[in-house]
Amino acid sequence: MPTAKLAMWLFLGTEIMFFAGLLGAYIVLRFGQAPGVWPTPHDVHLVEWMGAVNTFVLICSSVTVVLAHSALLKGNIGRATMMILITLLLGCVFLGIKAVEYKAKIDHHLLPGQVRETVNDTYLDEMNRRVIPALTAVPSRSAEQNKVLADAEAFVKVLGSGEMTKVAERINRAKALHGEAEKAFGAAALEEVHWPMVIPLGNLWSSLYFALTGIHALHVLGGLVMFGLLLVMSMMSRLTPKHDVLVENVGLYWHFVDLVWIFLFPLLYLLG
Amino acid sequence: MAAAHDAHDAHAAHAHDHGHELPFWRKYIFSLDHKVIGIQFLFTSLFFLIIGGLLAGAIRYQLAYPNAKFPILGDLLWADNAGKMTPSDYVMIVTMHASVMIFFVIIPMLTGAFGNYLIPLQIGYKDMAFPTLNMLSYWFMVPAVICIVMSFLSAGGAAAAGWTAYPPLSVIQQASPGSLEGQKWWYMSLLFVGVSSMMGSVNYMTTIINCRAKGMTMFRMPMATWAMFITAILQAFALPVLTVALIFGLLDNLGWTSFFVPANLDGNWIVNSHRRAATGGQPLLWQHLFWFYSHPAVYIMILPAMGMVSDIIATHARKPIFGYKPMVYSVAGIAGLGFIVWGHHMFMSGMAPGLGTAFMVSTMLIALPSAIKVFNWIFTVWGGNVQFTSAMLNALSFVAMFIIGGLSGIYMASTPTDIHFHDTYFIVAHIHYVLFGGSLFGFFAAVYHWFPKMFGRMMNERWGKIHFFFTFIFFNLAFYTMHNIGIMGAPRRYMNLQPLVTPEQAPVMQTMNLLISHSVFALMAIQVIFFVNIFYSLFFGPKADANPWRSNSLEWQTASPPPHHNFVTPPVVYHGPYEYGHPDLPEDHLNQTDPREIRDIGHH
Repeated sequence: MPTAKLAMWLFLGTEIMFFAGLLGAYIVLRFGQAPGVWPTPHDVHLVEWMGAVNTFVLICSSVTVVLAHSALLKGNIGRATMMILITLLLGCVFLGIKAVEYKAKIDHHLLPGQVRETVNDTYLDEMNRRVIPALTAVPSRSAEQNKVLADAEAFVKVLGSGEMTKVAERINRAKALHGEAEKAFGAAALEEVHWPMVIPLGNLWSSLYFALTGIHALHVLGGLVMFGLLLVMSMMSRLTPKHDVLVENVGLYWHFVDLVWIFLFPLLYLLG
Repeated sequence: MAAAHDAHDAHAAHAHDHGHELPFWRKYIFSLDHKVIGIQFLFTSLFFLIIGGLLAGAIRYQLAYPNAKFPILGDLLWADNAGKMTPSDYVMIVTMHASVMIFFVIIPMLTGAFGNYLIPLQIGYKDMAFPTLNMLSYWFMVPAVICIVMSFLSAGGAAAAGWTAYPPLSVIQQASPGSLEGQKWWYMSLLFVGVSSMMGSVNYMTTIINCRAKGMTMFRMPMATWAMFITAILQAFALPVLTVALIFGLLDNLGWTSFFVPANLDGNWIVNSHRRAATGGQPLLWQHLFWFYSHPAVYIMILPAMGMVSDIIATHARKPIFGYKPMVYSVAGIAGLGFIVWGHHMFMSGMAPGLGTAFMVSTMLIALPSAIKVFNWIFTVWGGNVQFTSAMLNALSFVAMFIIGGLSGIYMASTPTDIHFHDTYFIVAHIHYVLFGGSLFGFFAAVYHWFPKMFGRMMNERWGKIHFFFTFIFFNLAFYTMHNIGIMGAPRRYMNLQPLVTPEQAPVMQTMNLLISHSVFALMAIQVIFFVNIFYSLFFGPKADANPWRSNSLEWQTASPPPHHNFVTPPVVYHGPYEYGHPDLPEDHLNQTDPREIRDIGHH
């Protein structure tokens, strides 16, 4: 086996252990919690189809990188360059979709340390000062909307009196109320009034989400740099069939990055 | 000698062919030559050996004179504490002694220095497979060093959560002064050390698998190279898990996440309002990730020494190593078992008894390959024509000290006794018998043995022996006694042990602590001889010929020091590395490159 290829396989072995550590930490932290508490994809605005599209994009890019290698072996530099370019673009699409997803998390303050995990005084304050007055100001409310408003006022009153001492009870009530309000007023209206979200374990979820997908995205970025360098080589007419090991190595790395995502996607998006 | 001269002449001609010499900074600073990189690692780790040793001296002074003013530096460092060491600084010094010794001394000294130097020479190749990567692996130690220095200089002082950095102590900034800033630098320093080790280990594995000389089968490799190979495997596949833990720990310490912060820590501990809301972190997760690396790491710190000592013992006993293949398989066995025993560090952290038993049994199994190695070393020496050189004396004492360190390890492996000994000086004694008695004696042996090859000059044998005898005596006085105070119940990481024992025990404890401390001071003083011997011999030692120990392996079949690219012509290997005292030959050794058709005797 060529020395460079052997080294790439060994390097990928160390990468496997690295991601095994990351995924292992995720599994321990997630399944070490009390049952039913972990945020559902809906709670944290995870869009399954976006993850699925990204999975498809990466799988396609793994195919194109293989085609690039085989074209290079056949001496068809032009086709190889085209395939590398397509792979690079697919990688960019992946990162683009990832960026859209990150934007949504940032907009909802689903960032480590910024997620409200319990119903506390600030929740009460925000409901009293902002949300209830704003919803009261909505003209010509339906019966359903009026009911939600009454429920919210009742909940705020109970909270203010300090009668509801059980934390879990408060959280469940707050989540149920949010669900009702979303149905009655619509998600957009709730966002407009900054209805306070309560997501138990939301900070841990967000820390893990950003750590796992962020480290994976950095690996994707590393791959894109390599494809970029290959394109530069090709433009300078330096890419020859003798570089098949180089292209194969970049391809091996890219397959690995793809494979990691195939583990990340179900673990983060699909597990209920 | 003739061969050496030929090699030198050929080297001169070779250099002439190139028509130019590399400038100084390419030849000695940013060198791609594995020999220079190995020597860079050697001197870096020797420098940190002094730092780590001075920290140990500070610890021992405090324990011997717990209520006294600290000499010389006391007024400077602890002026507002009447010149006495403060408790938080004591913990910081203990933390940094261990961190420096493990990550900046033992690992770079064995794998970095000797791994780099010996692997290409012993397999008969011109350099590492990837010289640039090799250079980077050394230069990634520089940011690591900068970070560890910054750790000392930062507000609150260096990390003080122990070298194991258990959360929440290490990740909550209010938990200890060292967790304010020092701990961040500590995490980053270790991340850089990790990158350096990763680069090194991938390079070592690739080189050994793919770049061996013609005829150099895997089972003709000397034990040193075998051990470096298996150590590289350990490093490559265990270290990434520590990297994960370090990244998570750093993020936690910065206050961004709470992977390791337990749910109910609240109130006075945490000022950061974001943190207060976060729940669900698991401190035990750090321990699992940390020990998944750091248990294999103790083998990373001993296996290279085992390999080098095997070479040294066979050479200086003029006998084939006893049971070459069992030696290889037992190194592999120790490494393999090393991956499934990490839980034995956590018996006291809360572990299901069944799981504890599983870890206990797997740990005890390591005694089997370890014992195979010990018996094989003893049988190698048995009936040999032993040359009592400084290298051999240190190698023999490695075996003896490793037996003591290994036996005390069994007490820690066994759950019932571990519960009693956990976090006492018994474990401190154990770790020092393995890391000083083992790794460091192995290192001394390797320096005395390979110094002539590295620098082309012999070290002074008389001073080498004086250094060895006093090191051996004071080492045992210092660290054997620690077993006793450990059994008396003295806990580690306490700055004053006196109030912790009964009034009847107190005077005995004090006497033992004085004995330990003064032995350590003597031990430190004796090391001056070693350092002077190295630097004196570097310039004024008698010239060494190519093969002063009449050794078989390939590094001795080229000039001392070897020319650029090691061998004038690529060597071809016909024999195993341990053909000493062959009955069919008049001379007592058979070079690996000797083309005569002679059956191997030491090769099964």
